Order: sequence, then C-alpha cells, then structure tokens
Amino acid sequence: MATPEAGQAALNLLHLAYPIGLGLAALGSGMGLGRAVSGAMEAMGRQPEAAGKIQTAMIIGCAFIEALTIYALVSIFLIPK
Amino acid sequence: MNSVSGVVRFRSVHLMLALLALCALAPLQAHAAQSDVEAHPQNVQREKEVEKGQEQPELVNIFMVAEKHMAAADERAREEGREPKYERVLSFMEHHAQWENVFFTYLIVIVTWIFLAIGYKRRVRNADKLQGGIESIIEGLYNFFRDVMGPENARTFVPLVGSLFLFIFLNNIIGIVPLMKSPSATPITTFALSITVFLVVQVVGFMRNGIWGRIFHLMGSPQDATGWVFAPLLFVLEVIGEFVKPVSLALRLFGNIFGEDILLGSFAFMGMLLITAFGIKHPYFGVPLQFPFLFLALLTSIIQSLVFSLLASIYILLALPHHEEHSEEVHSVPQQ
Repeated sequence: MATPEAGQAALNLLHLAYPIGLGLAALGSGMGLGRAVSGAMEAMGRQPEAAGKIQTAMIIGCAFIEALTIYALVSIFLIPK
Repeated sequence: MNSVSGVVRFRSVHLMLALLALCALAPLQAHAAQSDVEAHPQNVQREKEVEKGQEQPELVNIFMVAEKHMAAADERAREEGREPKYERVLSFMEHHAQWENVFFTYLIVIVTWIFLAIGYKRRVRNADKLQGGIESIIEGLYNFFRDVMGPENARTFVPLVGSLFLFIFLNNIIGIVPLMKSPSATPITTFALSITVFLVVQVVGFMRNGIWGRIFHLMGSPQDATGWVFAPLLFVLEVIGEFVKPVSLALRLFGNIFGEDILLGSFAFMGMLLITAFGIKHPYFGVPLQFPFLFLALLTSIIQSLVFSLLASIYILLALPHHEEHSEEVHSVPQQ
C-alpha cells in the first residue's frame, strides 16, 4: 500500500540513487572517452599531417559518448524531487 | 588571404585581461534564492524550500534584481497606503517565465547583427581591424566546414551551420557575464535550434534525393535480395533515428550549459556563505569561489557550440545523395 511514509522512503532511496546512477554513467563514459582519445592521440602521433581530420572525428565521437552522461544528468533535473 | 587573417591576431593576453575583468565582477553572480532569503527574512517557506533542495541554485540575472526591487517598492507603497506602481509588470513577469530568454536572445542577435553590418564592406585594400577580424572568423568557419563537408556543400551550408556556431557560442558565453543569462540553458531554446536543423535536413534530403530516392536512402539503399529483406526493418530504424537526432542535439546542449550554470551558481552560493564568516552580509557579493570554473565554462561553451554545428553539418551531409564521394573530395583539398 502506498502510504505517505512509504512514499517518503522511496523518495529517500531515489535521492541516494541519483548520485550513484550519475557516477556510474560518468564512469562508463569516462572509460569510453579514454579509449577514444587515446586512439586518436596514437593516430595523430603516427600521422601528424592528418591531425585536423582526426581531431574533428574525435570530437564528434566524444560528443556522442559524453551525451550519455548528459542524459543521466538531465534525468536528474527532470525527476520530481 | 593570409594578410587578412593576420590583421587581428588573437592574443592570449586579451583573453587573460577579459577573464580578470570577469573575476573582478564575479561576486555579482549570486544565488537567486539566497538573495531572496536575505532580502525577506520573514520568507520562511522559501528558506525551507532552499534547504530541502527544492530550489535549483541559479545565477542571478538582471531581471531577477529588477523584479525583487519592484516587488519591494510595491510592498512599501502598500504599507504607506499608496497605489502600487509595478503590479502589471510583475504579473507579466510571473506569467511569462520564458521572456528573459527571448530578451537575451534578441540582445545577442542585435549586437551580432550590428557588428557584422559595420564590419561588412567589400573593401579589398585598407581593411580595418573590425573587417579583418570578422573576415578571419568567417574564413575560419568556412575552412573548418569545408574539411568536413567538401567545398561545394560548404559554400551552400556554411551560412546555416556557421551562424548556428556563432549564435550558440554567444548564447553559451553570455551566461558567464554577470547579470546575464544563457538562453541555451533552457530546453526551449535548444529544441528550437535543433528542430530548425531537423527541418533543414528533411527539406534538403527530399529536395536533393526526390521522395522515392529519400525513402530508398532510408531503407539503406538495398542492392540485392538480402538488402530488400532487411529494408523494412532498416526503414523503421532510420525513421526513428531521424526523429531522435534533434532530441539528442537539444538535450546535449541544454544539459551541458544548464549543468555549467548550476555549477557556477552553487559555487557562487558557497562563496556567499563563506563571506558571512568575515561578518559581511550582502545579497549579491561573495568570495569568487566560482572563478576556476569560469575557465571550464569557456571550454564547454566553445566545445558545445562546435559539436552542435558539426553534428548539424554531418546530419545534413548524411541526408545528401552519395555522401561517400565527398570524403574523396576532402582528400584532394590541400590542407592549410
């Protein structure tokens, strides 16, 4: 049964869950970003003349990876507190 | 061409001076809820909401200050038995929550328009610094998008994506200036921009491919029997993808800029709490704890505007026919 106390307890749990979920999302996208940037750096080291194009592609990829963390952040703004 | 871009050389000294000026003004950025609590100590309900975290820490902007002062003036007038003067303005402000964004957006547009109108002259010799600066910005944007889209498409679409870049960059950066607000920190602005990009992509896709060509393109351009078997599945996926693209564009920009403003707001709030330890209490001034994050805000502002315009150009490129050929063209373009 949904009593006010149970609702409050659920909200408390949610408040605990926001930062953990955001942290997990940040962890995942941090690992992804690390892989992407290290690959791009290696490619730039091998082919310095193609650095501009590699950088553009890297920024696009980074934007897609980073968007996942931002979705987690936006969900925190949107969920009722 | 090199002489033009050499007229105004971007010096890091200028950036440092601008940041120092911002630092001097930084304490003006304060926590809206906090300043309200300070101004009306009897407002206990608001204070409770702040404590419970109901209120988002927000950067104060010039309209919040004006609203607060007008409300206080009305309150005084009612106590003294006079007619309150600002009632209509205040009710307008209360019922049109988005109008601040409209104001700051038009401010950006008008200022940019004036600069471009003054700088735009068809002089080849004796270019002054403003013309040189504007031309180097436009040329840089053109070169950047030419490397992505190829020269033909760049000439067609840089007016769109380049102005998107400039507009979003100014939208993001105006939030750092004290008493100003980033219009792109609200989903309404960012969704308007991304829906514009969506409409352009659809119109360009249907005009350049034809209706059947576009549908064929969305089915993954099937060549053999296997391709036709998977075509309906791919068609559904691609159509969903077309509608998800603007949502992801808008949410990315909104989340980044809103998060950045919340970060600056919370650190400004902490600075205001810190300064009370020295016995100074002021609704707008505090220790500028948010100063290191101004650099972060600069970085995210540039990167997010770059990413938005770059992704817009790539979505347009994907809707064009035979986009594989353009990557060949890019190879033939000499690097500068």
